[in-house]
Amino acid sequence: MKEIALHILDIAENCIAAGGDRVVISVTDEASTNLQSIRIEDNGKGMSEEEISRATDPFYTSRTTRRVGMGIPLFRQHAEMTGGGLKIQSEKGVGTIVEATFHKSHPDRQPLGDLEGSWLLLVSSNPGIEWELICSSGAGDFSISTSEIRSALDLDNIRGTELTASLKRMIRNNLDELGLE
Amino acid sequence: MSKIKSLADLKKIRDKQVTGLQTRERGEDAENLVQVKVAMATCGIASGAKETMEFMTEALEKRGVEAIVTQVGCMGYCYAEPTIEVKLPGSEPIVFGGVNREKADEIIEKYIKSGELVDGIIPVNYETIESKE
Repeated sequence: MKEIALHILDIAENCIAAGGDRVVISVTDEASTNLQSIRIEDNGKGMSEEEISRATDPFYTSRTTRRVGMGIPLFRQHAEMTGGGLKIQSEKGVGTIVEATFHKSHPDRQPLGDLEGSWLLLVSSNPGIEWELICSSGAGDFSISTSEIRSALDLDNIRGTELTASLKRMIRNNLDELGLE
Repeated sequence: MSKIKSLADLKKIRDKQVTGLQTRERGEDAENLVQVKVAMATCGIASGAKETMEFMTEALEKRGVEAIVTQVGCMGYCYAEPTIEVKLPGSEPIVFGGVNREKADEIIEKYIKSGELVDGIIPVNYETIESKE
């Protein structure tokens, strides 16, 4: 994983598998503490205490096609490399929140990367889910959601190369303005 | 072009270019379309599945191939990621491994457009995570 945006894409795949209909991804830069936190929240089936404690074990997975599950362990490793960490809160039948924090100025921190690309890929291939992206930094905040896009542009489906490209530019312009990187 | 900062800006631009977006709205008749599934688990993403998927979606649309590109979980071929499954209308699905941009391009031009097989096929019976559970 070369960038944090890929971790976000990966963890969000778990949200899809969890079967909820709403996923909120937040990226927050806290200038005072020099921390960047990435939070991915779904309203899917949730996990039991035991599943939560095993989620960060690379040799545990809920899937049946193979016996390892590297998504969360890698995300945690990359967060811990910067002196940050990863927390999971979850309740059966309610949903799950995965939150990783990174020390922004740590040399091992990966760049945030193509957040807009990851988000739009999730959006365009999972139309049954309400996706929300919330970004904030000392410079302000920005949020966008699929229901907002649908109603503003009067669309049923958010896909197509041109639309995706314009949405990407729009999100990128806002991220640049917030100085999120 | 002025900077697009909000959905309102986007709407203005979009009103000028409505064409092109309509093509997919009609008939989600999946059986008659080319179906491409990109394996997007940790292994796939780490090896570049995101780029493969973006390329596939864009290239198929630009080249006028009616297709549905979706993502699936791990198909169990982590060693061969990025992997994609391509199902042409009326044929059995085929899984290709090591699908970077160049390979994706070759798959579109040779297999999807003219049914010609290309290197990189994973020759097995497999079950996707959905079918196994």
